[in-house]
Amino acid sequence: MSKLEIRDLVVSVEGKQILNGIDLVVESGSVHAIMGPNGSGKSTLSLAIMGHPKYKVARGQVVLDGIDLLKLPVDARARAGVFLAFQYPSAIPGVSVANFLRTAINARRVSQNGDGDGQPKKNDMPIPQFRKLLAEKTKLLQVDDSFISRSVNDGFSGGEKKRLEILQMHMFQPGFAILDETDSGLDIDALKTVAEGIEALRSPTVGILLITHYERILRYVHPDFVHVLVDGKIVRTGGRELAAELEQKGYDFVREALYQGRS
Amino acid sequence: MPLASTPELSTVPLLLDRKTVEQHSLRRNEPEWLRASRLAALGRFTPEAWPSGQEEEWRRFPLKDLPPGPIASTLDHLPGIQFKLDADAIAAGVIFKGLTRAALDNPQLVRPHITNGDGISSHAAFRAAADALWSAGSTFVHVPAGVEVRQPLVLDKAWPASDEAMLSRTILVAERDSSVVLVEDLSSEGEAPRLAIPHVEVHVGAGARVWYVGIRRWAPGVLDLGFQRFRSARDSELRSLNVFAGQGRSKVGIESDIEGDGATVKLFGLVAAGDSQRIDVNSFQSLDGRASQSDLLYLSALYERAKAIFYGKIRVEPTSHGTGSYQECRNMLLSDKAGADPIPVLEILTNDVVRCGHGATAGALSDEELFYAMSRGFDRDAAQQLLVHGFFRRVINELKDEHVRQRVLNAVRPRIGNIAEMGVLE
Repeated sequence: MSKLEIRDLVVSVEGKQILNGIDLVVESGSVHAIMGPNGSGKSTLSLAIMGHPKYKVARGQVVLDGIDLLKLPVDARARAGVFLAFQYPSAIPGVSVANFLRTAINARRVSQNGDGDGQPKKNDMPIPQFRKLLAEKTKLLQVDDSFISRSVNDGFSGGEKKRLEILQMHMFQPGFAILDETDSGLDIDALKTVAEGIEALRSPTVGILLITHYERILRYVHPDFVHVLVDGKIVRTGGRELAAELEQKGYDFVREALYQGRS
Repeated sequence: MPLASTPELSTVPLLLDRKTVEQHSLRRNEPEWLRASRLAALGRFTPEAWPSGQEEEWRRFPLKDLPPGPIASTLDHLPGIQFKLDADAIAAGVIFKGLTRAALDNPQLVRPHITNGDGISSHAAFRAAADALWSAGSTFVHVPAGVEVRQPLVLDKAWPASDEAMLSRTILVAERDSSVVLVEDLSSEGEAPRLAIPHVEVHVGAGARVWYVGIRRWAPGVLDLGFQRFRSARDSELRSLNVFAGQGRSKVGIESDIEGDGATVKLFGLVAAGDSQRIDVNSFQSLDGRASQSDLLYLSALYERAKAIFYGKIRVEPTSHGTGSYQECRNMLLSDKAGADPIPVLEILTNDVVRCGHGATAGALSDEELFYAMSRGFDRDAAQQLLVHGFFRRVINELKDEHVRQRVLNAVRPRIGNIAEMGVLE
């Protein structure tokens, strides 16, 4: 059993404090949905966990099985098992999806200590094994064959980009996956495929943090917990029914309840 | 009387004299007409032929501290050079040999191409020096009309350590409707300051298709003042790629003239430079005739204190009709101290143009792209390597022959890294 603990996380972007103390524990095998209105800090949370240089952590900890992630560079966080499906994935012109996936898998398999001589040691995935894994995953996610020879996200439609994020998530087999508004900008068919891709990752060894603005995706991905993020704080936590309530009443309802409670 | 003693020439940094040129030719047992062509070149080596430094294309490349070593080389053969032709090409009459050998065996083919010496005027002195004292590595290629050479012709020109100048000529003549790929891989050993002037002339006959790939991996200390001239007849296709790898400094002039209707020219360049290298390219593309096209794409990855300068001019002649041209120069700055100076110039002398434009950029790697790659497990160096490989891919993809591709990748790898064994999965 693996555990990702976020403790009192305070994050600012360009001098403006966005997260005001987030506490959240995600255990492997569970799916947590974080919902919140625009500007509530959803993307900030995901990018701060991954280590985007623009997001400055003022206070708090993100601990994965006892390791303080915030002390690690971005790539080491990825190798420790954290995967972020981006809301706005970058294009890498000239690098094919297949080559990107293979070199990334191999980069993740390098053991940093090697044989104890301090030199990193390569342990590349054999190409036939890679091909087999890729064929399996593209089939599962209904990804077209031509997709993998195109450049990463270069000229991709919104839906294609999200599919590629999900394909990467499956290829890298992370311990914890954070999905940042993976549902945004998708038509209903793409949404279903992407949601099925997320559900297919669900296993006792994987924890999922699903960040979304809309309840829509939760019709296909069934979270164990729903958290509501408002103004950089988690203000409510509940089960799936909380998502339905939000959909019905809107975020203002939570916000009003919150500020009434304060006054 | 040796020209070196004239007061005019003592003002220019390099000295050539008649005696040196004559002896160079006599020692090599060259025919009289060849010696005459060398002396004619010497005649063009005048103080006026030197760049004054005020020409736009020379302003960013100061010609000082020229290597002091001998300008006439005593080296007649490069140890690794081979002129390999397959049996079909030999049977079809293709000539691929050293220039001296070709001058003896095929004077009727060589003579018309050995004497002209024209091209961008601010490079005239260096062309003249190369034409007067060319030596080891000089090559002649002739492809008869209608002949398609299937295998790329590959020249490994590796100069052993010395302080002697490396002056060479390459003359490629592709007759009507022929096709050929020529790869020149230029390298040198040793650390001594020395001069290199590879002078390349490519004649693309009507309907012919030519690929010229020039790879430079000079040792540190080399000052390369090369010149290339491409002449395209009607309905021909010329593609050329210059790869600037290695550790030398280069100031290279490239001239491409389209002299007939419906010709296509594509000039590509890859610069992978570091240390305090300076790679300065000036190109001059002229378009004439009807519906011709001339495009240029130069990509630079610049590390440490390297600087890439590109001054490119496209001239659309008043007598042309419906031509198209585009000049693009992109520079990736991989250190705070690296720099790039892309300067495109369009000179359009007619209203009858389909397209004519340019694009130039210089900038650091995008933080977002780096973060994205690192979030997939690549450390910073690996992420950077991946992005640079991707950046270069636009040009690499133009090379259809896998061996040529690998040769180009091998040349840039010491600088850009070897993260991606590109091509394996495509």
